[in-house]
Amino acid sequence: MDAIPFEIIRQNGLEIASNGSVRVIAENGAKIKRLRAIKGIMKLSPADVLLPKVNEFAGRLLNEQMTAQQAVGELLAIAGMVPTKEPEKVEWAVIELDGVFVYTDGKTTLVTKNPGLQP
Amino acid sequence: MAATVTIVEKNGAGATETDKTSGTIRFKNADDSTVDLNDPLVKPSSGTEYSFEKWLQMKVTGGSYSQITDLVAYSDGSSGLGTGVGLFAKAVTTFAQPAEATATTGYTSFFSYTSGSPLSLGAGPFTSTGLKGDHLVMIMTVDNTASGGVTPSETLTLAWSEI
Repeated sequence: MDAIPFEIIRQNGLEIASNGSVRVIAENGAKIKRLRAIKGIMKLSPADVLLPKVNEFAGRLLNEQMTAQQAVGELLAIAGMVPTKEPEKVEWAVIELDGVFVYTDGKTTLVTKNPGLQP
Repeated sequence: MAATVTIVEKNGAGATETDKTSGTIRFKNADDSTVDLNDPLVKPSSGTEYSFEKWLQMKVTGGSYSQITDLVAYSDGSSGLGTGVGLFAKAVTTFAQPAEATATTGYTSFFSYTSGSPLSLGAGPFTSTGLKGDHLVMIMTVDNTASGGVTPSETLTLAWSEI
C-alpha cells in the first residue's frame, strides 16, 4: 500500500503535519515541509520478462516428457518472475528549527543537521 | 491534499507526453515511448551503440499545494545493467525532439547520482499544475563487450520538497 502524504495545516501559530496515524507539531518558529519521492520508475515490462521464459519453456515442453505437475510448476515459477510491484511512494515530513532537521515517515525518525537528506 | 505527481516521457517534435510513472521506459533506436521489440539497440561489433534520448519530466496533474522545491533524480548507485551497458543522464531546461546520441559528452553516468549526490532538476519554487522543473535526459550505451538480451531493470527515484 502506498504511503500516505502528510497534510500540513497552520493553526494558532503552530504548524501541524499528519498522515492519519502520526501527527507532528512544530512550534516556536519551527517549519514543516513534505519530502516526497517516487522510487522504482523504469521497471521491466511483463513482456520483457515473460517472452524469453515462455519461449524457452515452450521449447522444452515440446522436447521433454514433462509431467503435468512439472509443467504447471514451471509455469507458476515463470509467473512469479513478473514484476508486479508498483513504484514506491515515499512520504516524509521534515521539521526544521535553527538548522536542525527532523525527518520522519511515521515509523522512523531521524534528527540531523543535514538539510539535503533524500528518501 | 498533496500534489498528484506523474513522470512523463516526451516524444516527437510536438513533445507528445506519455505517463511513465508506473510504466517501462524502453531505450531504443527510435523516438517513441512504445515498449516493444522494434528498433532495438544492437550490440556493435566494435565501438559503442547509442540509444535515442529519453526526455522525462515531472508533471503535477492535481492535488493542492503551495510550492514544490528541490526537484532531484538519483539512482541506487549501482548498475545492474551488466558489462558493456551504460546509462547516462543530464538535466536540460528546454525540450528538443529526442535524437540519437553520438557521444556521452555532456552526460554523467546515472549511477554516480545517488541520494547523497543527486541530479538537480530545478530548485524551484514551482507552483500550480503542469510540467515542472528541468527535463531528465537519459541515454543508454551498448559496447561490444555487452551480453545480448533484455537488461535487468534499474531503479530511478524522483524526489522533491513540498509545502
